[in-house]
Amino acid sequence: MIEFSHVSKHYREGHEAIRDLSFRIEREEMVFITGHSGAGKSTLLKLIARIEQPTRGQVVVDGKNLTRLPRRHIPSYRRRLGVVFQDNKFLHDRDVLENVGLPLAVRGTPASEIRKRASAALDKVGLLARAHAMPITLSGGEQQRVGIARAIAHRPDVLLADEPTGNLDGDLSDTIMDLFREFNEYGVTVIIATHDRRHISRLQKRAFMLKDGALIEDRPWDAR
Amino acid sequence: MDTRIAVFFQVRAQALVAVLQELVYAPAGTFLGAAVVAVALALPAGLYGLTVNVERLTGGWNRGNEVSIYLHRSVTDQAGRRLAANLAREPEVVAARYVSPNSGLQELARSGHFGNTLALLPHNPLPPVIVLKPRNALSAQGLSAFITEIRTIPDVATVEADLKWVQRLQAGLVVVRRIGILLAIALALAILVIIGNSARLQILNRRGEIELMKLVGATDGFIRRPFVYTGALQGLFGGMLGWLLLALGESALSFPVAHLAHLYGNRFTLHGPGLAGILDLGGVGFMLGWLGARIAVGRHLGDIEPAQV
Repeated sequence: MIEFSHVSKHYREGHEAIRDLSFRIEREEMVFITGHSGAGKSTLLKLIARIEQPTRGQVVVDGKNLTRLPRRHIPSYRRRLGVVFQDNKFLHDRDVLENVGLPLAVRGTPASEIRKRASAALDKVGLLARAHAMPITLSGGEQQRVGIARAIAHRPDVLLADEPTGNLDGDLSDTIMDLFREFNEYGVTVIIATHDRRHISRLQKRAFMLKDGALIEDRPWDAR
Repeated sequence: MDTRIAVFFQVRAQALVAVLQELVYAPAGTFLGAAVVAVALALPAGLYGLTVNVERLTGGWNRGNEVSIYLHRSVTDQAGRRLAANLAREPEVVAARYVSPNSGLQELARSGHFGNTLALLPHNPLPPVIVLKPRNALSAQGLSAFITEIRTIPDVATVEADLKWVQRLQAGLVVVRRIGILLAIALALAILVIIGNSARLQILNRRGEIELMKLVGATDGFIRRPFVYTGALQGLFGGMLGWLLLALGESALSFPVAHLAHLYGNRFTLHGPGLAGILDLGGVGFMLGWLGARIAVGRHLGDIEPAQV
């Protein structure tokens, strides 16, 4: 369960990215966060990933108050998350399989188990054949799918995705969104930031609408 | 528990292998880094080796010396022999020989330096003497203390031993050794800074990678490990290279030094760092490299946090 209570985030330069945000996301829920560019979607995900700290209010994930989480506990918290970027970062001196296995490697998973689980994750996104390719040789769509495979390889409790289909064409972005729905059906809490409202209507999931950092709409699909 | 131990060793072994591969793939960079450490370690170690060798050399000369104990003229031959026998029993002494005034005069006459002059003397001017051979292991300081003790014996008029130059040389060696220690401290700090700076640059170059690792839940220890291993291995290789420099220096100098000593009638041979030196210098280099990298990584890793989602 993820709970925001009156969360605000101000940056030093005076920009107010999030304003008095309060909501609750249940376990195994799938939620879209939508809004225009600069609405605060990415900041919201950063607050959940404990990349940013709120200026006011508190973020609680499964009973843990992230604002009071000691620095030494942050790695173990982040291991429960899977994060997909719009422009995925890779270790360019390692192949696709090693990149996908990175979240497993950092927790000391045996090498054979890393290979097995990273291969399974790549298979899931249809890229097992590119396991030994270097990331730079992949197309944009392939890189996005590798990023997703990396985010799911360690079986996270929560999957955060920031504009995961931002650089992709229609069919491929639908395929990727279907993957997220599939993970959610397996019991993963999925939170996707997107400005493309077409996905919300297609997948029929709960959606938050942000405007200038404030939550202006939070309705389950059924209520529309 | 067994799995945790296995994982403990596995992650470290993986990091070590990765670091070794990186060092092997960049031989020029690895060599230059090690060479800096090598020179910084070889300089004070060479200075230390120099003082050890000079000490050994002066110790050898010191051993050749005899101490002449001049007794009062009033001391009888019997009392002189008894005193020589007593001194010979002292732990600092190998042998003590009594030379009566008559024997002394005869020895002087046999030397042939004075011709008939000695025969013209109205009486024997020589005092009774004890010629004492100190133990080899006795240092110049120990011998000086022993001589001071001998001077307090009532029958002893004066004691003669040419130790001044050895004492001066040894005092000089203390100064050189102190300079060596100060140089070693300064160069150790330089190694810490050089390896620390190298680690800092590596961290800056791999900032994106570190951010990514932090985002997927890597602990600071996991991220720190390759940098610290790199520093420690650079230090280790540097120490080994430093040992090689000293060993080469020794082999280049050993023959001319032995030849020079031989010309002075001495069997002195140069002592180099020896095989044990590779452990000493390698160990010091390893520790300094580890520490330098550990401090630098500890300082800079905290500044890097993932920024992108």
